[in-house]
Amino acid sequence: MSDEEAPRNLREVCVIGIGTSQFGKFPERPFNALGVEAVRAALADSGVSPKQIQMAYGARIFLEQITAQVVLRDVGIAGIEMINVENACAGGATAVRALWKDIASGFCDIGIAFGVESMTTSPVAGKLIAPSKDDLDGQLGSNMPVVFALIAKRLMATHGATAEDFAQVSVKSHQAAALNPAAQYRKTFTVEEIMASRMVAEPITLLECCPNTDGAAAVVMCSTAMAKKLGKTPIRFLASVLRSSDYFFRKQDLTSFDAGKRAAQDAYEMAGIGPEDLDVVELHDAFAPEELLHYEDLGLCKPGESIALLRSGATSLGGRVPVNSSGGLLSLGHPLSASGVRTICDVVQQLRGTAGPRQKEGARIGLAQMLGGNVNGLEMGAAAVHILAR
Amino acid sequence: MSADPQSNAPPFQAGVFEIDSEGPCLLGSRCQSCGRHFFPRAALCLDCLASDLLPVRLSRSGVLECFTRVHMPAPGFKPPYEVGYVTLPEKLRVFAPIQSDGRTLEVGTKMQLVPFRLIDGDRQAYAFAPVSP
Repeated sequence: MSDEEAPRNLREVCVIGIGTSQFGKFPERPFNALGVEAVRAALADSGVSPKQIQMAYGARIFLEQITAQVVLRDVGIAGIEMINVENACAGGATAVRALWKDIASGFCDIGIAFGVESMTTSPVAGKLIAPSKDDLDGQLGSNMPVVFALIAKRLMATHGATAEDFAQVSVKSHQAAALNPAAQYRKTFTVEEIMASRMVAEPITLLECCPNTDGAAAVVMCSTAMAKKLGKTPIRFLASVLRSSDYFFRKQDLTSFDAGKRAAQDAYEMAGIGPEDLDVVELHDAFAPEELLHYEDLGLCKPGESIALLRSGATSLGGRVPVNSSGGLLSLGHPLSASGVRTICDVVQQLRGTAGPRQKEGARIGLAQMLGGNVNGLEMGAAAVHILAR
Repeated sequence: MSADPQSNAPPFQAGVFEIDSEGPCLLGSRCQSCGRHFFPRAALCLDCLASDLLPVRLSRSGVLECFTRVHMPAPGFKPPYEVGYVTLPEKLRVFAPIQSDGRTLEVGTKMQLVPFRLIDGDRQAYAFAPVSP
């Protein structure tokens, strides 16, 4: 795809409504109640009637079938085409990407994409996500924290990263979350407190791991032409890219995700901008060290300079390009399939100038990235990058 | 967790490794068309798509790329336990349990395969340990 010219007859697509549910642990709340809360909020924000929605994508990993139909049933949307999506943690971003394709190519003018996850009622409640029976690494003691602990060890060997640097990522994320009423955890921590929390997989401590979170996020999207007719201020997609990972045997460098890098490069090319044009970034920080490798894969700094970028404060609130000004997965929370939609909601909020005390002054262009999946034989699962502008 | 080729404990997964008098050995494939090695065994070369793959026994030693000590339980393991990546001469990066036995490990430490037991169901597996000086 990157060698070819992007199709030229695509329509411009935009976001006109965003909504999230409360994020936290709500074992008493059925998953559809979370989904309904987010979808209602997004519809209200867009000012669009449920009856105007032409297409729907719902993302979810755990349990029941026909997630989109069950959630949308309770907001007055039925009978239209609905597609249910699973793409690990990138499921929500995949739903957005699919709706983007439908609107850009003219199959429909307006639709809704959402992701919902009730982690506390899922089979992994209170546990790590278990490896499948035929997953060789999983049978031999691997899991998500282990994968990222090994990456962190490489960052220490090749980049001069320290345990304090990883803790600083979490400090930064909690500082943002403390200012975000939507966050699951709104407490700030010091580097010392993060490092003193329970060791999970060296050098990763408990407060450097994202929590299990219940929640949902939704976006109403339409063609920019339709947004104008509706009298809505569009936040335009400059790029929508989804890539799957290559084979693990081709992976050279443990401190880079090739799929994430390719998705970002293709997105910049599609948007006609470079990483230096970004004002805000929301990315997949399931574990604190992970954020650092994405700095390089997204081109926020040169290869090898991620630690210096973190230490410079450029990615903190008030910095040149705040990363995860929402609090990120680390402290806002990580309802798996919802996160890829939620990152887009947070970027839209920044571009509208409604992020309150977390607002990046004059934010014009933002990037939302989401990765998902871990399986033997492949580098990972899926990588999605969306670039939005006001 | 000592070497016991006579043990009748079942392997944790069939067709992945064998244990002989020299210890465990990983079972891989080599593509006769492009020369690439695969672990575990593959029926198709996932690189050049040729199907003339030869079953091979992979090198028993390699070089440590990184490792971590894990402090939470996982099926088959009692914390703390160690795991990491070892690169074999066949240019394969293999994930496996690590047995440092208190010895200092560094990037580039030469490692060799040793027998290993997963504690759930007493299943046979393999680990990498530093080559004795």
